[in-house]
Amino acid sequence: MTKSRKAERLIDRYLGRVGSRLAHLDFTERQEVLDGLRAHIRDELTSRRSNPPSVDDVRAVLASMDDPQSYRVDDDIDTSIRKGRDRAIGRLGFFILLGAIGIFVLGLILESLTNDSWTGVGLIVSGMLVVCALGLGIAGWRSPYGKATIIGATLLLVVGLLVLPIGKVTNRSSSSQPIIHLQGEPTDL
Amino acid sequence: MTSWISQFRRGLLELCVLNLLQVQEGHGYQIVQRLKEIDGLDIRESTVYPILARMKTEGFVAVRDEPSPGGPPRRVFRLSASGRERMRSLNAYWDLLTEAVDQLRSGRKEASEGNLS
Repeated sequence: MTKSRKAERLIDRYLGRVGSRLAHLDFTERQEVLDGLRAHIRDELTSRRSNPPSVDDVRAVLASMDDPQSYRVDDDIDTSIRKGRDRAIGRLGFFILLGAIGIFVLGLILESLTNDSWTGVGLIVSGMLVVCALGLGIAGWRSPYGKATIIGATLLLVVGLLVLPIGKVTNRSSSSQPIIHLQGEPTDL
Repeated sequence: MTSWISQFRRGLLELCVLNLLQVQEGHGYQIVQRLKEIDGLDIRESTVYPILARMKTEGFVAVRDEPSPGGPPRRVFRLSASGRERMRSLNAYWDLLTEAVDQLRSGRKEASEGNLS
């Protein structure tokens, strides 16, 4: 049985669409399904005594077969894919959060060693990473990693937002103390 | 379709395929055509081929290639030893299930007849 190139293309397109619906299967199993369907199409064409089959014959056979959309991802597979995705996203968020803490600590260490303002850089970078981790944690909230990331990132952000203004006030008050003292002297006089 | 119906049908289809192959080996097209004849199951190629592929992966069916005129060789499926074992277990479970359901249904029928009289 020799099919025209256009007929072959129609079959390939149909099988391609089915294959994309079976992405959750491993390669061998997916190929097994597609090989079976290709043979099925050939047998269906043979049973219709269309030799050589025309493009219309192929179209008719494909129309009589299930729509590729009906090769639906099973509910249990769908759930396991979703769980896996949530776990992966949550885990990524968790490691980014750990990285953010690490960068902040590194900034503190570098500042103490070099007297340069590394803490500020570390704070900005880790702050951005914490926000990023929080987003990923929310996206993968169903997984334990996602939940841990949300809790950790929220705590860090709250603590950061509370500590940062206090630190600024402390710094400002400590640096402005001599000025106040100087300003206060004339009034004392 | 509701998930439980889909799960139930999948299990039922596996039972049908195993019993079909126990009688006679066959290639995909033949299996689909034979199963299509069973009323109520609404079996189509989109359900049969994924199940055949899964059963092959799990070792319940063995596959051999058969030469086909004017095309690539046909894949012929037959029941393996573990497939036979699986079929026996599923058949036993099916018998148990249908018996229990029949008893329940006949009990309900008797009760409704008793209420009528």
